[in-house]
Amino acid sequence: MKVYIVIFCFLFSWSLFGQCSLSIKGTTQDQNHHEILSYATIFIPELSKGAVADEKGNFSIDSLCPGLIHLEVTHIGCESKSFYLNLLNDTTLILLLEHHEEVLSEVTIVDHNHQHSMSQSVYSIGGDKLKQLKGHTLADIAAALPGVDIIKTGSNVTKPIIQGLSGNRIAVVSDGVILESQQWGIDHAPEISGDGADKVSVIKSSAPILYGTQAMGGVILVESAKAILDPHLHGDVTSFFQSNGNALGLNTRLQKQFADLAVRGNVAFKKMGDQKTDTYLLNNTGAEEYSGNIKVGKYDEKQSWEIQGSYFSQNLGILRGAHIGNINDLKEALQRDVPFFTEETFSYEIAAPRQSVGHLTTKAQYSKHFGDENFLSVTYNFQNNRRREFDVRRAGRSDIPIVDLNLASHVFNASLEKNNSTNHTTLFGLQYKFQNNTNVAGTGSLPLIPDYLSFVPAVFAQHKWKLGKLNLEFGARYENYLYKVYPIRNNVVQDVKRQFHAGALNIGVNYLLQKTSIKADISFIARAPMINELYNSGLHQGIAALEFGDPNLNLEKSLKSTLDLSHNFGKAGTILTTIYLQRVHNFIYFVPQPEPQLTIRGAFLAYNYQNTDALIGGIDGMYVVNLHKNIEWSTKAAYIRARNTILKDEIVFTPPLRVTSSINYDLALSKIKSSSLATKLAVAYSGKQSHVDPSSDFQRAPDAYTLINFHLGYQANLFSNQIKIELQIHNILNRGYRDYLNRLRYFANDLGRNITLNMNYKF
Amino acid sequence: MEKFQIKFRKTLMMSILMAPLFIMHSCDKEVEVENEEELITTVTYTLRPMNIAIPTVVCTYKDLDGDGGNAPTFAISGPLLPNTTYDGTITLLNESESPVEDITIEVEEESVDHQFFYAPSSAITITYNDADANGNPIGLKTTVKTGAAASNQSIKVTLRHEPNKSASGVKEGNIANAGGETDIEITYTLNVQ
Repeated sequence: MKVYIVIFCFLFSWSLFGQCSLSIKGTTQDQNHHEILSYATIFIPELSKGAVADEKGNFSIDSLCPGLIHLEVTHIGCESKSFYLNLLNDTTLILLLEHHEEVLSEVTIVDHNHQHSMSQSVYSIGGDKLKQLKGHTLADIAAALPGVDIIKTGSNVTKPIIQGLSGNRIAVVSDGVILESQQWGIDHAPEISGDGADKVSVIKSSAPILYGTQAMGGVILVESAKAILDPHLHGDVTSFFQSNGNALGLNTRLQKQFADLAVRGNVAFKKMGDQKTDTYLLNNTGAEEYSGNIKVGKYDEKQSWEIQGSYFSQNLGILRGAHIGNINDLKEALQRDVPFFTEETFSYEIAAPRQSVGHLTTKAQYSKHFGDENFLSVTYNFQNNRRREFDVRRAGRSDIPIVDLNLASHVFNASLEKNNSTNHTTLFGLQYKFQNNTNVAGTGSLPLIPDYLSFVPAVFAQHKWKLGKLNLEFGARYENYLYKVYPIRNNVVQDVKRQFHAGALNIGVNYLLQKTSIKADISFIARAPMINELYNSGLHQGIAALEFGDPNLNLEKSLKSTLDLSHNFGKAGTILTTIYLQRVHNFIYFVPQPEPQLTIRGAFLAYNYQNTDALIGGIDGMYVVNLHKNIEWSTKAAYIRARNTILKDEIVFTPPLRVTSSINYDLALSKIKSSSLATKLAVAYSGKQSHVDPSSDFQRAPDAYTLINFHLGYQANLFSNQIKIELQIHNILNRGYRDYLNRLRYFANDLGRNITLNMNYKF
Repeated sequence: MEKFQIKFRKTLMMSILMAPLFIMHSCDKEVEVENEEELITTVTYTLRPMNIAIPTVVCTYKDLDGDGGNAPTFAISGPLLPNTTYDGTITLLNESESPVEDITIEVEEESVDHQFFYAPSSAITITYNDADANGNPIGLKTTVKTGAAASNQSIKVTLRHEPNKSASGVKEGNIANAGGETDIEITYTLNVQ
């Protein structure tokens, strides 16, 4: 949560220097509506002194000496942040906090961030709740939000699903940069660390206007806070240990002001060995991850610029027993309770089959206000994604990648926002994306996805209109896809040029009342087929299937409507729901062919990409109520159905019904010094996916299961800095279970009990 | 006029800024065809009669263009003689490369991590005639015995990479508990007459 502070500084009286008789007085207000915020906490860590604002938002701290001090401001649900002040005289401040409409311990519901459209269904997770999830993958973090699920290949390769769609159909955006990587692969996780994030949000509506036609299913937004102007070095260090896999991790964030430049950096490291199920080890499921991020910026009222660079590197093992050859190998593996190659010795070693990915992101951004009305923003970003996959091969080739892809992307973005009047805002934008995908030579295998160049210029416009309590929004976007593809057929390189006209239209409305918010959003999207859908050809070893693209695929046309309702019943709690319906004409679907293909290695299942029609609908939501002053009960649930309306069956890998219910008990041990104890007991139920026709899958969907999770957190101040210790136990009862959305369910059970100890020190 | 000039300058600036983007539009890419090193195109099972002067039987499987493309072809040089013992030798080639690569050598070098499994019809029995460094069978060399005359007999040949040779029945040629990945799985059809 961002806190904006110090707008007015009135000088009141002339005090003498050196005398400790100065005071700070003020009020705390909401930044957007200038409404009073009651009971915020203001704390000066140097002096261990502070105050709690009264009901009218007024506070006062007396007997202060002149000098440089930090002010920490906290309000319910907001993370405390430190601000820097040179106290010379008695001072009166108006502290403006960016206040969320509804802040619950689990999620932030309405986020008054101007980047977000007001009519879309946006939910965020940040602050303490996000800190608890340190060490988890990005998808795991996002899945804490209602409506987001995960498709996994073991617990290291996790891909987010938003309301039934994933991969090419959702956008993952990190600090304004759309991740450009090989997201088509069901076994390719987004190459972003969840560790550097200060806030993770999900847009559940289609969001094509700003994020492109790819954002058909929604968007995952990962944001790190803007560096603040404070000459002191501030930061925090988090370290964690997980019992399952003996995982260790360290994450350090630092920020400092140099002259008038704000610098913020983050480094994270994680190492994990073989994980285990309830009874046996999952051999070769270790992982190693390094990531770093540095941001330098100069932020002025009139203009600001920012340069950012980040690198993410990951080496992860895939369960050895899940590596199979042909259909018969798969059938044998399916019949086993304990996978092949299961051994009793734990190891940190990562052998083939494994994946090694490196992702570099660089960004330069400049923005400037022209008068009061115009705001120009120009961004350039370069990303380089290198993905190497290693298989168990003959003659020492296990150390030579069988897949070695390098994807370089250049994206140029310019947008102009015009505030025509207080009630009208228009945004115009231009975008140009160039991508170069190369199969790096030396793999000794034929490429699954061909080399290609892609050129995508795009234009977009969006208009927001405020009509009393009603906000209207219209948008349009056009994208011109030009592909130059170099597929190899019979050892001859072909040279194919393809062009698609993609685009989107969007209309949204929201109606905000004191206790109720209603948001409705409808998007029409025509999405161009991606290269893999058009030209994939050959064996995808990771999923032991032959994949064939279809160069004659048509544009995929989607109409998604979302209705987001939230209401605060006061003492009876708060309810939030999102209802959605999405019809996709020419839905590009991976259809298994009736006849397996015969190769020298025996028979393989063949899948073809085909245009079909899909109808996806569902409801997800959350209910939170305070049972007692410190006890909160929250329940979230998601239900979805996805049908292929031409083949008249259910789309595979659609999440089953999930319901999670938890009780939080928070105990403040001291009023001002933010020392507190928090406990949480959660029961997570996952239903059986019984709608999918068993003949369309290798194995029947696994049974429903229930997990019990526990969390205990303690925080206190240590030498005027904050320290937090957290203990989490996942799957307390060490249940053996298999999850429908984990692709390793064919071979092995899911993870058994996992105890995490997490320590955070903030300075 | 002045307004026009400003406009013109703006357009010019934009054009200069956007120019590199459209230059990219016209670029092209050099793509090399990768050699498929691990490809096995040809599997030959040679059955040489022991102690008797009759023709050697050569069973050949060929799929020169690899997965997909043209269908593989089988060639059997002749029938097996009933109640006869043959020396079986299997060889693997990659004929898509020039010179032709002998993949049998790779299997020999990694014999601990490879095993052939033979599943013949009732008129034929096949036993291992070789061993790796651990004394476990490889299956490059076999002894093939025929029974009474029968037509349309099949021999299913499976090569497993990294099988568990110590699992129950695997040393005796039972594939059920072997695990590992299948590198080859083909079936020859021939007569015993």
